[in-house]
Amino acid sequence: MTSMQFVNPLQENIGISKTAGPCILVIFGATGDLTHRKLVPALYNLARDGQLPPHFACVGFARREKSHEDFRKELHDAVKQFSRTKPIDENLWKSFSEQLFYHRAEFDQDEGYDSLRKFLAELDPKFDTHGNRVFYLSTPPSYFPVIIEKLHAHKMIYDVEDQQKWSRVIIEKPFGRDLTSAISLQQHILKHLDESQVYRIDHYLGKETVQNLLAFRFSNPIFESVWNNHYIDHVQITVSEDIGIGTRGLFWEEAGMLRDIVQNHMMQLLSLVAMEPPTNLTAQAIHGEKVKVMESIRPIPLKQIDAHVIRGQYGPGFINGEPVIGYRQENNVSPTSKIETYAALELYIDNWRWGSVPFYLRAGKRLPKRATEIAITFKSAPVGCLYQLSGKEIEANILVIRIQPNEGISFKMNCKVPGLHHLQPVKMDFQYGSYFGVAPPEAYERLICDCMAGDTTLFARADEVLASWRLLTPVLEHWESTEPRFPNYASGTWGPIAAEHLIARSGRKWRIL
Amino acid sequence: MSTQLQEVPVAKIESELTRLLGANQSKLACLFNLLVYAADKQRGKELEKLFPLIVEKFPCRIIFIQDGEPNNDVLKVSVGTEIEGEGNTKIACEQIVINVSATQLNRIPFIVLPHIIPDLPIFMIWGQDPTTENEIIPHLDRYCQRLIFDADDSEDFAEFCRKMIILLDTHHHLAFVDTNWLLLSGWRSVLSQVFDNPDEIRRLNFNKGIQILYNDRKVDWLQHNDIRAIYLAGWLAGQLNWTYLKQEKSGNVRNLWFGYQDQEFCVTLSPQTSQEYSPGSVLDVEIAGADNWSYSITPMIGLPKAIVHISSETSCELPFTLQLSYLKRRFPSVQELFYAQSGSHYRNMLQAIGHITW
Repeated sequence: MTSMQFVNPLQENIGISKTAGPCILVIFGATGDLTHRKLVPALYNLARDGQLPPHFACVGFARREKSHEDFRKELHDAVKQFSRTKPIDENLWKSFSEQLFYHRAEFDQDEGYDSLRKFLAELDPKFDTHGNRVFYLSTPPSYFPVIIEKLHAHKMIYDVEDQQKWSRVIIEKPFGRDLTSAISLQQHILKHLDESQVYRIDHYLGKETVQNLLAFRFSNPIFESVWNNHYIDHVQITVSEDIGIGTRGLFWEEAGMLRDIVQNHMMQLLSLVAMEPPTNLTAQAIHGEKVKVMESIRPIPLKQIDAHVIRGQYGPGFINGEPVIGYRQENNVSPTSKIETYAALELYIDNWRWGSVPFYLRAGKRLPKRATEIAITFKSAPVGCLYQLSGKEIEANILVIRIQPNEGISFKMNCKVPGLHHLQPVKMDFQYGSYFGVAPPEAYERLICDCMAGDTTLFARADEVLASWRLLTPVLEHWESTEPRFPNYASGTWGPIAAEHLIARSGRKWRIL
Repeated sequence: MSTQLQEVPVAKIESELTRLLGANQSKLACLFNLLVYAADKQRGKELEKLFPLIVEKFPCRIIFIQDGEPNNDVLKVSVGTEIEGEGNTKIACEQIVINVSATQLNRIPFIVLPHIIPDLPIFMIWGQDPTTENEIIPHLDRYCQRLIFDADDSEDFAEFCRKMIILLDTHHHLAFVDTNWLLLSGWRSVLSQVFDNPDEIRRLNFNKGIQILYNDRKVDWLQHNDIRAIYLAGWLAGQLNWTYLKQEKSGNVRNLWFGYQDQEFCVTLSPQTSQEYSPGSVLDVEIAGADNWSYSITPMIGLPKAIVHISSETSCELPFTLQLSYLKRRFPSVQELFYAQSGSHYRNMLQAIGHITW
């Protein structure tokens, strides 16, 4: 019997959680913020929950001079501060930290990769990791091409046909700045990697509430049967933050809201809301349906961009009653900056299910509160039927999926007021926190675990990324070539007045969250 | 935080629960109905320790039937709420406690049924051998989705195995969850990772002897400390098609003889007292494999891991560690209690050891 055909009679395969394969995780940019705040706390909690592969090691790759012990000590402090579970289990940390190592090298120097390869080869027998590799590129995107190239040149990226061992690369958004750069990055990646080896992280996809979108839609036929243009009036997707850009002025001046939030997180949410049921729950089937949605979105006419896409920039105002400065007064921001901190879009999906249903997307900083939600507004009851009272239109049913905070699902419906011939809207409300007790795993825990297990479902595929750039790049080019009148909304308000007009011209209005 | 239990007439159960909910100013949360039966007070005390652990993760309505009242004709109902969380996530879970003596057991199903919350799953934690005849299960099991029990409660192990197999084959709507089987999941996972290729399986099948050490520290909630050790031996036998031949007992040591093809070998279950680990847990597994390969799997002190040494006459592999859960725990995790499936391995195990007597 070959090892390919062997079925282990002792293996049960009915576990309630996924287990990842043995591997070494190499984090490029390991001295950065993401590693300390998210990645290593995620690994620690995976270890705590018994979900880290039994044979595992992690190597931090960065430029600063540091010993293994220094690195472990720093990470201990980081886990103590940022782990979702507290206090830190010192026994567990001691054992876990023995799997953490540091490798000092430059991203663009061959010597560093040569020594890395040798170091990993020493770790393989010690940790029984079988030569499997995950390379996490937690670096500025400008380093992605050189790192991938060097990994390939030094034979740490294997042929995808290799049956004995595997290698995978995780890259963080942004995946390019526009369509041209995204295509260029993709072409460079494909010179050295197969698409199946690329894991593009969009951490929204790792959130339990986002994963629940598919479970909710496709395990509750009552909703799926009305999830179309016969019953739905419009969809609003909102990503609202009350914070400003903080210390990220340099980054934000190169990015803006369309690149940072709309192109990735919001387009992923839109595709999950609008997609057709997949044939199965494999990554391929789900990605296929998401791409179909993206490709069905009606291109925004070039001469009508301003009519369909609104941009804004926050000025001074008040958040939680306290005065705050405007974007142009933030550190490392030009006093004449054209960068948008708010974007609102009106989109249409031209397919049988969604024809004529507008999708309204808005994302902004320094809005009154932090909230991410998807609101499905259904068509109202027919005018003139039973409960039309005093000429007033009956309130529409609204299904709201709250992604964060206060995760849950609510449904607004109408009930009769006892003793009166009046209707009153009421809400049925399900809250994750109440029903499922302690905090769910962080998004990065799920995503890292899935990558180690070889599951690409919760990662963005190249064609999804390119489809969203294809839609939004003309908007970015138009904005580059025109002068906005910024700032155009005060901090603490719900965005520019033009965004109100965007939705009001169809007789609708933005939800107050 | 629990509110004090209030004794109420049966007819007032729901109204009193409603009043308590209002008084606590918290939101009612319920994912499922949980019926808990304890055959005696001691078993009841043990099961009550589970309630806060369950409610913390999975808010539910608990209907607790406490049998074993010493006086005749006792049927007392009390209600209370378990409050979890704070602020926006403060929730209340309802509890209905029924103290009953044997003569009144026949009334229990009729008290319980009206207080099942409709449309939600019904799970049972059965603090008694579920294969023994009783007056409650036949009325309720058709409504239930899951029956959780502890095989240690059985008096006749061979009879338990036989009847359990019949239940598994006839009650397809019910998920049977044996807590000892769940508590062994860590060891099963470890062994499946150690013996994960045809050569290792062959060495295991043609072994020269297996020793399983288990913790025989005595406690009042565990009758048979060797149950998990027996399960482990039975699981190997069931999955690898070993034939049970006989057992020999020498003091507290139990030798189980199995046959595979034309070989016979002994699986020795030996007690050892450990204060570190939970009573009944498997402490060590040593396997003298075929071709003089030997396997030693020992838990690491203070960590949920086992260290594995594999050696032969001519080579000695580097020791490695594997995740090993549940050595210190009295109960499995609540996620596993309510979501894990037993699968065919459990049935095969019962089949393999159905002739072993306590």
